[in-house]
Amino acid sequence: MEKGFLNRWRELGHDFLDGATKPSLPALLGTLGVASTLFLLFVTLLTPDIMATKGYGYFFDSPIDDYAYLTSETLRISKTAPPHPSIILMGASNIQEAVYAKYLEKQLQEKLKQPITVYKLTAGGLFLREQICLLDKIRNRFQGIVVLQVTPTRRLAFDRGHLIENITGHSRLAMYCPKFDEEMRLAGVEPVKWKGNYFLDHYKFFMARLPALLKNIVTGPVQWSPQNAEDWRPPTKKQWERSLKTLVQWQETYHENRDANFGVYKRLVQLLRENGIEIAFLEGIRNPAAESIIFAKSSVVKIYNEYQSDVTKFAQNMKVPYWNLAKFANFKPEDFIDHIHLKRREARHRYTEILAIRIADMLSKQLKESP
Amino acid sequence: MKKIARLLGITLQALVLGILLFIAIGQLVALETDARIFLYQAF
Repeated sequence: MEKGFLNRWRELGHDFLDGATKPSLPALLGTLGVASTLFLLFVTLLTPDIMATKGYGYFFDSPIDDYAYLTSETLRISKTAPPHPSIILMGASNIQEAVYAKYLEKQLQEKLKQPITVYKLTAGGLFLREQICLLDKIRNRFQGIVVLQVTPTRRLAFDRGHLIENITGHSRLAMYCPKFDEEMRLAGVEPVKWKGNYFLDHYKFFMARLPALLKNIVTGPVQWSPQNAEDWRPPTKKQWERSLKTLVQWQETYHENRDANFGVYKRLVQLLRENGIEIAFLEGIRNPAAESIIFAKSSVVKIYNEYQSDVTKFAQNMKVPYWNLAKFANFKPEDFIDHIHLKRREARHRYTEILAIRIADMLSKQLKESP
Repeated sequence: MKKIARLLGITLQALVLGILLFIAIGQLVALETDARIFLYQAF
């Protein structure tokens, strides 16, 4: 009796394995059906809302996938920005590595004795024009201050070929931003013609991350890593020399791009002010060891002083504070991993504390003025 | 029962191969259209 029962289960197991492993027409049709269903599910169910809520973290390729983080985080802020004043730190890897957002939040809450949320919208190599896209998304719900990194080194922000190759040619950010499209037109680049379907319009963003999505469904959503420079390898002599070269390269096209550069900043300030959001400019930081080499040349000093004077005047005209805080942080060469990225925790804490004083001052004035 | 066991097997095969097919086509599209993830490298 028992033997017959076992044999029956064994036979059923064989049948199951047969079905699971042998090719057959039903299996082929089923396979095509599953693949088509998945495609239809992506086309119909994937929306910016899903990216901001239930899908948050599932499309991150890894903890250093800055652009997937920026997409989800920006969409999240645009849906769920808190009713109290908040801060957005925006910029490239320079500021990303220099400021601890959570520590800044704690500092501001202690100073102002009220809830403050700090968001970090930073990514390595983030274009100035992409920042307009991010701000365009959040400006309707967000209230508070946007601290925007300014730097003279954004030479490529105005290179048409580079814009096409790196922005419109790829879906770095999976978002619709009308103001960004306007900016691309102003830069002489034809913006992407949207079809109106989120998945199809940003298929490159999603297709590149499909294996990661499968893995994340099993292992859970990925947490973004806001600081990574401690884990980087120090630059070789050749890499160090190359990075110093990039620090002075912007000079070649500074005059050519100056008006366009400040034009973008001006439109950005106006865009935010239309929605009652204030802005502060934060100058990027540099390794003193790199500065001592690049500023040894009088031609570099001359053009850098010109930039400083231009940006200061511009900020005054726009009534925007301009903070160049590196001198107060007393950075040493050993605080940096390379020419512009901080690696030491103490240095980051120091810089974050100095920044917190400025932001707290600005925010407290704003709070007093608001009814 | 035998039919159900075979059907379950076929379903499992279709699910696994269907997901893999979807990802493979996605990867092919990504490769053909140069879709990539921008991970920051300082150097």
